[in-house]
Amino acid sequence: MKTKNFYKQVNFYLTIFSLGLVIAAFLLYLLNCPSEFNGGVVSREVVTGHIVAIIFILIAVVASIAEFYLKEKPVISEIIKYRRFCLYIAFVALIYSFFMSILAEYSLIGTILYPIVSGTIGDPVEPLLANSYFSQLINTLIAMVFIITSALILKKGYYKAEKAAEGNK
Amino acid sequence: MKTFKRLLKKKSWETLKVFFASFMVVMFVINAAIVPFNNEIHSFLGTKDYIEVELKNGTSEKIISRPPLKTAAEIEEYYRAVNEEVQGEGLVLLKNDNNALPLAPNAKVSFALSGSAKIFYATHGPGVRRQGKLYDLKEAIEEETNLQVNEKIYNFLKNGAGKSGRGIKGGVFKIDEPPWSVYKSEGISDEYKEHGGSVIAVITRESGEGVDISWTESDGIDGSHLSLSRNELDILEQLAIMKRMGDIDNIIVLINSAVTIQCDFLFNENYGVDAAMWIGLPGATGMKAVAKALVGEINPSGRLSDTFLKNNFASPAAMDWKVNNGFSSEYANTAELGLNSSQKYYGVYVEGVYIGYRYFETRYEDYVMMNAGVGEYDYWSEVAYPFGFGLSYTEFEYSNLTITEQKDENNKTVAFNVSVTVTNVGERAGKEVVQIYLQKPYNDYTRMFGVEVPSVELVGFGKTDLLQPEQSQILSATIQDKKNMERMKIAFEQFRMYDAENAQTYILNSGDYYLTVAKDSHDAINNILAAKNYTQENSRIDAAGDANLAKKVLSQPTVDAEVFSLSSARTHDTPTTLSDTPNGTKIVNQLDFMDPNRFSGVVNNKTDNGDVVYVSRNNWLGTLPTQETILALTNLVSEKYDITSHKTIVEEQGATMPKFNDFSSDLTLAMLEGLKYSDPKWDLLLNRISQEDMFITLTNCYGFTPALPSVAKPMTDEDDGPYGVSNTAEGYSSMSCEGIIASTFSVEIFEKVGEAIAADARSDHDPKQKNLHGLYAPGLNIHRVAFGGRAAEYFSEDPYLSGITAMYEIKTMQAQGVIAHPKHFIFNDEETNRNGICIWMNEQAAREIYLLPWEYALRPDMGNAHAIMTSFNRAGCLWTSASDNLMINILRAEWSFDGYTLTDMAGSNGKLFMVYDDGFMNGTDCFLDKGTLSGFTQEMKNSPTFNIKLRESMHRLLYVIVNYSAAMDGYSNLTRLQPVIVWWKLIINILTIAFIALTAISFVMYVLSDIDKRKNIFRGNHKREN
Repeated sequence: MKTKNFYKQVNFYLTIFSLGLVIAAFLLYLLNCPSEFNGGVVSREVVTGHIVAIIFILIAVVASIAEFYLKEKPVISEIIKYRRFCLYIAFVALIYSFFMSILAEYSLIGTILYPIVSGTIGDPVEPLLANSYFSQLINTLIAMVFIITSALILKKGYYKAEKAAEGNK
Repeated sequence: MKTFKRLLKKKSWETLKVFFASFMVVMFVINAAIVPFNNEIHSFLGTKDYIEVELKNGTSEKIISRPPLKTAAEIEEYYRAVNEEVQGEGLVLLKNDNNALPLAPNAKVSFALSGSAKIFYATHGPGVRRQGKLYDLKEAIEEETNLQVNEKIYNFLKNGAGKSGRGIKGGVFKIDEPPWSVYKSEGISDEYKEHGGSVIAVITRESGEGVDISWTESDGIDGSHLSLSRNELDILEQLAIMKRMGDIDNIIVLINSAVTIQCDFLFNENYGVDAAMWIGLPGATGMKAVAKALVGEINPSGRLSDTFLKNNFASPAAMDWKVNNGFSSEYANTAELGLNSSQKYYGVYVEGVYIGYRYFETRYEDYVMMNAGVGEYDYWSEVAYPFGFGLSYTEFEYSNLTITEQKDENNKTVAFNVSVTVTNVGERAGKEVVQIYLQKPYNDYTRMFGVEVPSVELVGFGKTDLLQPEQSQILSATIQDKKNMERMKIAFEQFRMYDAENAQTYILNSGDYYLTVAKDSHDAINNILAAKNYTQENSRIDAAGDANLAKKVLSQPTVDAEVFSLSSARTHDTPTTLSDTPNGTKIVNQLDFMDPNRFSGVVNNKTDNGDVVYVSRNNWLGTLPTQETILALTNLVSEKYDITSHKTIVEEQGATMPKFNDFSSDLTLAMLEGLKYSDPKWDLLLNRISQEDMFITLTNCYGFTPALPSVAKPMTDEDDGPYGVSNTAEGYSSMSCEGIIASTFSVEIFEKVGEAIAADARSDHDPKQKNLHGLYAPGLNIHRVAFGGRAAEYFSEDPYLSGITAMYEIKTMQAQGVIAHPKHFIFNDEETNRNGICIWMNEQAAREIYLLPWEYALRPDMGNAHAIMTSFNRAGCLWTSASDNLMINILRAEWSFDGYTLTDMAGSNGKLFMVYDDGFMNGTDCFLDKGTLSGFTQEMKNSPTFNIKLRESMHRLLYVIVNYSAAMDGYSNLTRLQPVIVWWKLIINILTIAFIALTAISFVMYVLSDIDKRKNIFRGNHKREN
C-alpha cells in the first residue's frame, strides 16, 4: 500500500501540536511548583505523567517520519504502524497527570475558587501563578483530545488499510 | 472455543483497553485523593472508618455525659434572639443633634446611599451563613416598627440605578456609589421631597480575610476606602440642601462596617447629618434591633470598642503605613539573599504600645501638661469619637465613687474594688456603661529605660440594668449575682508594666497611680487631669474633668521589680480543679529575637545605628514615623532565630525513643477522664498508639481530629466561626461582628454569645457526626489600624476589652463541650502578605498589647481555653508556631496553658514555612493539614526527641478531648471503636481492581486477536504461495 507522506497527514500535525502543548504544560507546571501553596514541592506523579507522555508522543512523531523513509523495510514499517499505541500510552499518562495535577494543587485551586464561590476576598494569588496553572491544565486537556483524535485517525487508517488488503486477497 | 475465537476477532479490544486503562488511572488518582480528603468525604456522606461498639463483658463504670444545650428544632429561634439582643446592646449612638432620634412611631422615612438596600451582614468565610432569613433595613423596619418606608426609593437602591456597585475591583476595594445625577434622572430627588420625613443613609464598607482594606487607590475622597467617596458626599450634601429647604426633616446615618470609617464628614455642616449610629455588621437578625433603636424601643447602650477618627492616618501605626506604603515591606536585600514569597515581607510595629486611644489620650495629656517634645496637638482635629464613647436617648450621672483596696492574708494588695452610683437623669429608660481607667506613672525611670506608659488604660467596666428615669444603681463587684459588675474589681496585677531593658520583667513603677470612672477614654484623662488640678482656666485641657471621679490609689515609693516578676497563673490540678498557688514561673525577656533593636539578625538601613525608631512620649515629634523603615537581614543570625525552615532537630540529652504499639494495657481514652495530666496511666495509653498513627492524626487536623481506634478516640469535628458557625450545612447565620459584641461592654452578653454559638454548633443537626465539637473562635488579634482586613473577627483596639470579652465567651462555649480555639496566635493583626510576613516589635508592646488578651483567654484561672490556633505570620524571622519562646516559655510556662495548639491552614497557605519538624519541636501540637506518611521523614522517625515531642502533642490533644469535648458524650469504659470498611471505600477498591483486571484482559485479548489475525494472514499467504 502506498504510504502517505507524513507531512500530508492530519494526525501528524495533531501530534506535533499536542507535543507542543504538553511540553508547554510541563514547563508551566515546573515554573509554578515553587509556590507557597504546595511548599515548593514538585509532584512526582505529575512530572512522571508529563515525561511519559512527551517520550511516547516523540516516539510517535519520529515513527510517523520514519514510516515515510523506511517504507522499503517492511518489518520496521510494520512495527511503525503500531505507533498509535504510543499515543494511547501518552493519552493515559496525560489523564493521570491531569488529575494528579489537580490533586497536587488542590490548595491553590481552593484559594483561587474560594473568593469566586463565596463572593469574598480571600487570599490573593499571584495572577501569573493562577494563569500559568490553569493554562497548564487546559493545555494538557487539549493535548489529550488531540492525541486521542490522532490515535483514532491512525487506528481508522490501519483498519481501513487492513480491510483493503483483505479485499485484495 | 468458538465463542473465544469470535471474541478474538473483535477489533474493539484496541479501544477497550485504552478505555479501561483511562479509568484505571483515574481510579489511581481517586485512591490517592481519598487519603487527604478522607475526613471531608466521611463528613459529607455521614460515614466513619469505625463503628462504636459497647463491650458485652464488663461493668460500665461511668458514662461521660455532655449533652447538647439545644436541639435542631429549638436552636434557630434562640440563636436569632441572641443575635438581636447582642446587636441591641452593642449599637453605638455617635451623634444625635436636636434629638433627631428616636423617630416618632409613625414617621415617614426614606433611604439614601446604596448600602441602605444592601446591608453587609457579616464577612465572608468565617462567620457567615446564608441560611434562614437575613433582615435588611426595610424588612426590619416593617416588621418591628410602624415607620413608613418609601418603597420607590428602596427599589431604586436595591435593583435600580442607585444599586450598589461596591466590591473589590482590580485588587482594590471600591465604594462605587452611584452619583446624585442618577437620583435626579430617575426622579428620586423629587421623591424625597414628596415623601418628606427623615432620610436614613447607610454607609457600608466591606472587609474580609486575606487582604487589608485599601488605603490608597480607592474612590474615597482621600484615596482610602474608609473615607466617603465624592458621590456619597454629594448625595449627603444634596440631602442637606433639601433639609435646609424644609423638604425633609432629618438625615440619619447608619455606619454598617466592622472597620472604622473616617468620620470627619459627621462634623461638616455641609452634609447636615443630625444623627449617626455605628451598627457594625449585624448578622442575620441584628437589623431588627437597629429598627427598634430608630424608634426608641431600644435605647442604645453600646460604647465604642475602637477610636473613631476624623483622619484614619492620624495614629502612629497608620502613619507608619503611610510612609512605608502599606503594612508590609520587602527586605532591602531580598534579591541578594534569594528570599522567597514567604520570607521577603516584614512589618514593624514602631508605635509600640501607642495603639488607638493609648496614643491620642497620651499625646493629649502631654500637650495639656506641656511636656517636652509634644509639639502642637489638637486632639479633636484627629479624634471624632473617643474609645468607649456612646450616647444614649437619656443621660446618666455618676456619684459616690469609692475605691477600696483588697488585701490578702499576708497584707499584700490583691485588688481594688470600685463602686459608683449611676443615676438616670434623663427622660427615658436606658443602660449605662461605666468604664474604669488606670493611669500609671511615667517618670525618669521609664524614660531612662524606654518603658512607654499610656496615660490611660481600660482596666475595668460595668453595665447597669435598665434604669428608669431618676432610678439609681450602685455598680460594684461586691454585689452578688450581677455578672455585669464583675469587672468593677481591678486586679493589682493590672498595675504592672513590662520593662524589657533594665529589669527585663514586669515591674511596679515608682510614682502615683490613678483610677477613674469615666464615660470614655477622653473623659477618663480629663478626670485624672482634674484630680491633678488641671482646669480650663490654668491649662490647655479641652473640657473640665470631674476630680471626684478620679482617685489616686497608690503612691509607690520605689520601682519594684519583684512583685510582678513571677507568674500568677494557676495550673490545673485535675482537669476540673486548680492548684491553690500560682505557678510562680519567673517572667523574663522572651522576645528579644523579634525586636530589631535587640536582635543582631536585622538592621534598619535608614538610621545610623541600624535601630528602629519606636514612638516615645518622651519625644513625640522626634519619634513619630516620618520616614520608611527599611530593614535588611544580616548574616549575623544564629540558626535558632534565622529565617530558614526545617531547622536541625537537636537531640535532648538522654532522650530515648518512646514506646509505640505496646498493647500491654487495655486502656481506652474514656477510662482516663478526670485523671491528672501527669497520671502514669497516660503513658500506658499513649504506648498503644503507633508512631504512624500519631503522625497522621496530628497532621490531619483539617477541621477534624481523626479517630484512633487503638485508644477508642472518636473523630472530632471542628469548624470556623469567630462570630458564628460557618462552612457546614448546619448553623444559623452569623452573630453580630466581634466589634459589636465587645461594644456591648456586657459580661452577660459575652456569655450569651459563647453559649448561642456553641449551642448552634451542637444542635443535633447531624447526629452521625455528633455535630461540632470545636470552633475556631473567637478571633483575638488587635485592631491595630483602621485598615486591618479582618477587623470583623477581632474585638477591639484595646487588649483588656478583647481579653475579657473572649474570656467570658470561651467559658460558656466550652461549658457545652465545644472547644474554643481562639485565633490567631499571634501578631496576625493585618492580612496582606500574611503568609510568612515577619513582624518586628519590642517586647513591651508584644506583652502589654498583643499577648494580653491571650493571657486572659488561656490561663486556666481565667478563660481556660483548651486550644488555640496559631498564625501564618512570623515573630521576627520565626514562624510563630515554631518559636519555643512563644509556644512553650510564655504559653505553657508563664500562663499554664495545658490545651493543644493547632496551626492555621498549613495545608494551603504557607507550606513553605509551616513545616512539621519546626512546629512539633517547638510546641505545636496539631497541623491544620492533610498530612501523609511521605511527610514523615527518616530524621523525624528516628529522632527520640522528635518522637517524645510528638507523643507529648498527642497527650495534650487526648487530654483535652476526653476531659472537655462533646465528642466523648456517651462514651464509657466499655466503648470501643471497631474499624470498618465503609461502603464508598469498598466501591472504590472494587472499581480499582476491576479496571486493572479489565485493562489487563483487554490488552491480552487485543494481543491474542492480533496474533490470531496475523496467523490467518500467514495461512492465507501460505495457501497462495502453494
